[in-house]
Amino acid sequence: MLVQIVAQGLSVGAVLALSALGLTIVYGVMGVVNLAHGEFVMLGAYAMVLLSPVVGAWAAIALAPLIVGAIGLLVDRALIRWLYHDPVKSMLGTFGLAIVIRQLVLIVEGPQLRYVGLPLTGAVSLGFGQTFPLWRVVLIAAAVLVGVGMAIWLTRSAMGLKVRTTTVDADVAQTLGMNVGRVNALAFAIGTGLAGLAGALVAPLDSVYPNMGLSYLVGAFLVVILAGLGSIRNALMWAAGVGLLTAAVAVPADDVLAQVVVWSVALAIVALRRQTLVASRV
Amino acid sequence: MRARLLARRRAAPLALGLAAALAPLILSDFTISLLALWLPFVMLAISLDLLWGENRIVSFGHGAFFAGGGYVAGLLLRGPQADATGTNYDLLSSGDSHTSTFDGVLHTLSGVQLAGVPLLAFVLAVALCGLVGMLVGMAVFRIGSVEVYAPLVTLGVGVIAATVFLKLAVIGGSNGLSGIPPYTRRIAGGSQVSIYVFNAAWLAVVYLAYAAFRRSGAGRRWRAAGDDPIRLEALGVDVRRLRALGFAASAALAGLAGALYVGASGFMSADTAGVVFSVQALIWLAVGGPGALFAPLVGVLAIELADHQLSERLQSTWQLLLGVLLIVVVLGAPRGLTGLAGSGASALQRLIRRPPGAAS
Repeated sequence: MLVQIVAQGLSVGAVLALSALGLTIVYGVMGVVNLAHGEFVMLGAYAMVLLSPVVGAWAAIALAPLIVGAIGLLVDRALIRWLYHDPVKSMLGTFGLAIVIRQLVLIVEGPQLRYVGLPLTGAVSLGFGQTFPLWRVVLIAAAVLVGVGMAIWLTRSAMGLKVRTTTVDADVAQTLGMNVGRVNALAFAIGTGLAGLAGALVAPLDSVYPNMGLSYLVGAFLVVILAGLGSIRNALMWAAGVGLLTAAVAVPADDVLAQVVVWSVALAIVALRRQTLVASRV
Repeated sequence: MRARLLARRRAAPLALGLAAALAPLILSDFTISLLALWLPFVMLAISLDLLWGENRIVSFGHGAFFAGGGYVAGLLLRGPQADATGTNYDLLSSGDSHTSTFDGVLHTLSGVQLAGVPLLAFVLAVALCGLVGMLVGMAVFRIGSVEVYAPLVTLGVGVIAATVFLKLAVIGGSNGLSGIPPYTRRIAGGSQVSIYVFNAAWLAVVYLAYAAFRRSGAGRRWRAAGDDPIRLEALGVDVRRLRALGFAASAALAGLAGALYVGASGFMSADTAGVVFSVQALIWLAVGGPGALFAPLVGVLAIELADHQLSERLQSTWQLLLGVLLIVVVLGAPRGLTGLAGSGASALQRLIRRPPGAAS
């Protein structure tokens, strides 16, 4: 059972990490708490459902983040840029955005549940006579790859440097001649693109419907509360931790109890430590 | 001058009180029953305004306190129900002995009545929500950056509450707690008008207390904690404790609102504790204009009236419009409808006061 818990925990953590990464980058760079993040996950899942019969599952997974990121770019120019560095305003504005996206999808695609088949069936043996679905292994690998890739991009590339500078102080970045507007738009496109990727990867494991985003938003928030906004390494670590704790309760007991235990532990941790939410380092 | 100022200050509340008192004579029974449901919503919006309008703390979990107060009051109002709704207790896994102790406690608690109104329904709803609010407040306000932290932590509280309520068999689980009689069942037979009057009277008391609080020294200190917490801290006020107390008071008020709501609706479900309803309450306030005395009333009436008129006819388009409205208000009118009305009124005043013959 321990092996099962670890394997399941890491795959739950992988989904959390993928959705939390986008949230944390967007907050870190432009001070926007994006409550529509779950809706971008939902858009990614719909991209997967609609595209994979046409272009194949793997191409759909590759296209989903691009499409969702492009939508994110449009949304940033139209709405988000008026909400920079105002957490309260950004939360209300993006919640309005979430309602709009959800209802548009509901009107266009209808309320019914959609499903998409697993691109990779089969299972890997964990030893001790336990098996584990191959797709969840892909999920874990994707989360680690994306996390490491983002970290390398942020620390090694010129654009990554600009993003980090803007995170620390947008005014100074502007004064130094950086196009902060472009950095912000790029960061929002990347954040929503990651959400789209998470949605595409998760779609084969879950039913896809217009209201599915909320649970992903809540999960991503849980990780972000613990990890601090704006820190990638912390987000990956805490996502794994939350996933493991969830699985440790969910595998022997049930999902609902797991959720209550995880949130209670999270609030207790938050209450007991004296540390600000906003991590200054990426 | 002073008398005129006082008269002006009292004119609006007096007119509102008069309108509220005359409403049952003019409006249909159905409209009155809707109003009776909406008045507790106004109280919930006041509890949010206390945090958001006065102190820049946004709670995404007040639905949990509203639902919690509603469940507590609903249980006491309904009293022990061994036979009639025994179906609810079947879900309870731990057997009969547990059920009967619960019934016994419930019987004792709901026995304290005045004219058929179980007084402990209010006391317990307020006390429990206040206590949980105090604990949450102590957790939230230990950390810096309250603006970001409070929404995230209260969101978590809402998620926990909704999940727990959904699984608790004693309060009906996923079926919700139903069959709750109104408070006025012994006084006026529980007619729609009596429920409306009961809730309106409570709301009037809360509104007057809130207006008095805003003018008092304590109210000013509370607002100062929102404007400049660091300076207030330097002046020797324990801002964290003040905020925890304020959050507790707001949670207690939300619990009271929930307790009044179940008396009018006869029903409470776990959905109410969830994020969607909590944000609905924030939308009322955002549309009304956080920080303005009449914003909770204006916001709730505007949104709920529109919802009642349009939601059936437009269906999912109405929700879409609500989302667009929220965006428009946030971007274009951060002070809400009351703010718009205020600037409109002052523009009109300038127009009227312009001396005759002045160049236009």
